Amino acid sequence: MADSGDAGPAPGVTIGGLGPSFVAPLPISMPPASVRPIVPASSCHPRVASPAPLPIARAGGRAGGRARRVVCAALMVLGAGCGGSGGISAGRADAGGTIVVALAADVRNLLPAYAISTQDQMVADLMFDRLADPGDSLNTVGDRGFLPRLAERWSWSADSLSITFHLDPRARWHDGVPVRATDVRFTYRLFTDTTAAVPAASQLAAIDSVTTPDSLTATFWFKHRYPEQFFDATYQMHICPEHLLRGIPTSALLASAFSKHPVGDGQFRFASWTPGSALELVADTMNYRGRPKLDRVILSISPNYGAAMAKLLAGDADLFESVHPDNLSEVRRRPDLTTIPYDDPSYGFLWFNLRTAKGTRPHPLFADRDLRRALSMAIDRAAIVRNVFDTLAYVPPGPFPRGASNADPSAPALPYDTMRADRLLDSAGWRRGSDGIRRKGARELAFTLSVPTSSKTRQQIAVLIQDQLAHVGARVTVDPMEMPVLMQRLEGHDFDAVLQNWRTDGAMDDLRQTWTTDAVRHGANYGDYANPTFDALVDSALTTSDPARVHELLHRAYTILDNDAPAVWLYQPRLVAGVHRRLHHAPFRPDAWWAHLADWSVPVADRLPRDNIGLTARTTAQAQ
Amino acid sequence: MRSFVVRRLVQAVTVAAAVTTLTFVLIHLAPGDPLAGTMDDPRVAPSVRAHWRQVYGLDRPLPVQYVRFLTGVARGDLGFSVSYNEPVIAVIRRAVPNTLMLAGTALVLSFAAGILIAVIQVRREGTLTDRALGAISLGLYSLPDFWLAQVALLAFSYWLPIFPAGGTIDPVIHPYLGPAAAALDRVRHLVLPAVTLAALTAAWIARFQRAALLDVAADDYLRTARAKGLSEWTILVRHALRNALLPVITLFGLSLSAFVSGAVFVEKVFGWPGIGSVAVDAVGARDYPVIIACTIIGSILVAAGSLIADLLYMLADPRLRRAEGDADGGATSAVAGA
Repeated sequence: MADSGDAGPAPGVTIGGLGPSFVAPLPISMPPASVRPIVPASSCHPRVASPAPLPIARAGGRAGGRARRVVCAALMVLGAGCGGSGGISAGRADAGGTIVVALAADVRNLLPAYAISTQDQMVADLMFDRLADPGDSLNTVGDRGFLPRLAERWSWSADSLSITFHLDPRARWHDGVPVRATDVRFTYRLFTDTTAAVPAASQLAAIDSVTTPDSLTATFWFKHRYPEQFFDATYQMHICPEHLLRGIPTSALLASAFSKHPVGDGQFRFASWTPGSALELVADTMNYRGRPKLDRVILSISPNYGAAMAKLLAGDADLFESVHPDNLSEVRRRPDLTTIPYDDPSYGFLWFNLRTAKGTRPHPLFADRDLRRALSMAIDRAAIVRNVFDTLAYVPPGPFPRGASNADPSAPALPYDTMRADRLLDSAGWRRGSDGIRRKGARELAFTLSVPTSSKTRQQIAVLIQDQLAHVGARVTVDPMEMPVLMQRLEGHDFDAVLQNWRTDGAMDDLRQTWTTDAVRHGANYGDYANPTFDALVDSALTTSDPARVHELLHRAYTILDNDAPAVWLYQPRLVAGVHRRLHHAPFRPDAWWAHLADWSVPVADRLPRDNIGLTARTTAQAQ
Repeated sequence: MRSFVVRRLVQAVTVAAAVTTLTFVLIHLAPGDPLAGTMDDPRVAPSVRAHWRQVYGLDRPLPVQYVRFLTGVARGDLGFSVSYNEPVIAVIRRAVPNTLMLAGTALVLSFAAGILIAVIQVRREGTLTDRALGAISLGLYSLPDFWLAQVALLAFSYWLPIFPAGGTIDPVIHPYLGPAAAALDRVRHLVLPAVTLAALTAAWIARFQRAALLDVAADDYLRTARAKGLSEWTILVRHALRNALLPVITLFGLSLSAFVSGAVFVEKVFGWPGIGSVAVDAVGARDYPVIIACTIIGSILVAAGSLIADLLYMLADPRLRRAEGDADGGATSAVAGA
């Protein structure tokens, strides 16, 4: 039995060091599905490109849904041998059903090591298991709340410099080969192989090695103790099959046959993939964690938001993860659809560039801390969120989404105070001209605000900021650009200010990778913010075992960040998924709404024809 | 005829090479690189991006990248797609048949409908029918294809849910259908995008064909046919149309490439995974190998379309066959004489 945190340590399992002494942050509160936002508003999600609202009008959706079901049934009759009698698969009386998920972007890669986009991560999560899963609390500190997966139990060494995972002997790859400790070691080596250039490699830097005392035991050895040891050892890696990947050069992994037909160990197995069209997963009926209730998961790929929404509204899809607020009313009018709001683990912010010319010179405007503070106080964040998102976003007090391990709801934030902003600008020597624009000598208080064309929300926010800053005498030019161009500008530190959105995995380490001095060269601190005191506080927080001390250190770090104002924390969006009512779903986890997809079900009485295809039909069809 | 075809093929290869080179230079001069957009994740270290730039050769000077590209093309290797994570050949091989199916169907539909509408208009010249069809074709001709595609999707997938909302097949049940049902599934998914694409071009062809028919309407041979007692429909279809088709035949060949490129908007709206959609996505992602591959295909299609147009024209017009034959014969005689 594994230590699941809530149940307490299992008998005979030694828990030491950082294991049980951490108190998990408060779980993210998720409103019940019956709660509806009063007025739909724009939502921002970087995963969804150009969420232009559909020109939807009222229509007879009910008749349409029936018509389509009739057509589907007719097609199935024509396609004899379709296994209509294949109904409910063996193993669970309530098993069966198909969920069609509409995606607004394509799945690009099935190798879990290279899964970066949300679509790729979803597929990796469904097909491949980790050693343990953080659970709904999304705690990243210690092992509290983690659920056993490939590892049925684990133990810490007395000095907390190693964690030993005992694998579930029942775990099998989908080709029947048992999952072994050598797979764990292989995965770690693959992820940290510099020639493989796996994106998550930097997250494993504190792990020294992985050893395998026996075929079902893998021990992770750490270079030092820190609060998120367990999280890094488990969450950052989907275990990969050594027996299928060891002969493939790292340079050939992405083009390998495995990358097109992966073999995992998760509750869903790969069935088929047509890029640009659809990806099908089927239930692994012999899975060690039990058969999922659904037979099939089909990711129906659309080129854009509009096409994906059309599928949902036309009844060709059962779920779309991010319904634009402009389309919410239409979805709610549909008797066969419901909406489910959930937090998005991301935060959006206005980013000032403190150094220009690839970091070689101070920025002529934003190197001045008082100027940054003044502009921050001139932005009414609450009004922006209300205007753009209505009730579907929060104003974050700092660089973290709600519920993240590094979240601090009490973090200080500069107030919205235009009078104080004016006074600060005046005292800094910025005088208003006859045109209302402030100048300091020959320099005008004018800068360019870059936004990606793929985000309508950020473009809306940019216009609001432009207007608000005009009231304090700043001239802002909004510069929309394609994402590749924007990223190139960021990497080159070649921008004035940008509206950016970071999606996090909730870990405290995110702070180090985005706002510390080290992150300027080795991370994503493209604004060149550097404060040694802030760095020291963050480093201390990331290596301290006492939760109260961690909270205190982070609070002090956020206070410094607030004083220095390298950015203005604008919003954390709430997403709304459109879901077919016949689906009995589990709670949506913010970082992965699909986390409990194996528990979703379709009552027999509510099934559509596509729910009754069953699992035997594919074998029959392939034989034909 | 043979020398004509050879000349045109040489021209086509030259044009394709020039266009490809120009495209290669222009896309590399555009800001943004292929990896920046795909790694919009703060956890991805700059060293990882640097590694992948090196693997894909993006850190090499432009001339070196060009030579590398040319040697690859000579081997039949169009490179590796950064955004699709597979060889470009595989991306193209998957997308081209989809576009050919859509464009080919639309091409046939548009010409058939366009010619039929023109014949009806000429037969009913000056009547309400002629004017109504003319107004409709003018209206359709004026519509932007992406707007028409959106409206068609709204009207026939949502308001009147007769057709699917996108894609080439029903991803849920298609793998489990028999051959007949699978074919019907494909047809159902093809109807809306093909008809949308065809509607706009049919209007244009109808107007063009109508004008061509009216041009030949006053010719003497038609008066003779009328004097022989043939019906107006017979005169129109068997005599007038044959001569009035010549300019439209030219359009047929040229339209092939136009349909492929013009299908971009329709492919995006209907989620049709064709080469147009691939090209647009590749431009947005700065996927250089895919962009260049699409350019090569576009060049080939333009050249092929032009060649087909010329060949069809020669087949339809005996005077051109004789003239080409004389040219070939003269050359042969000159060689023999030498």
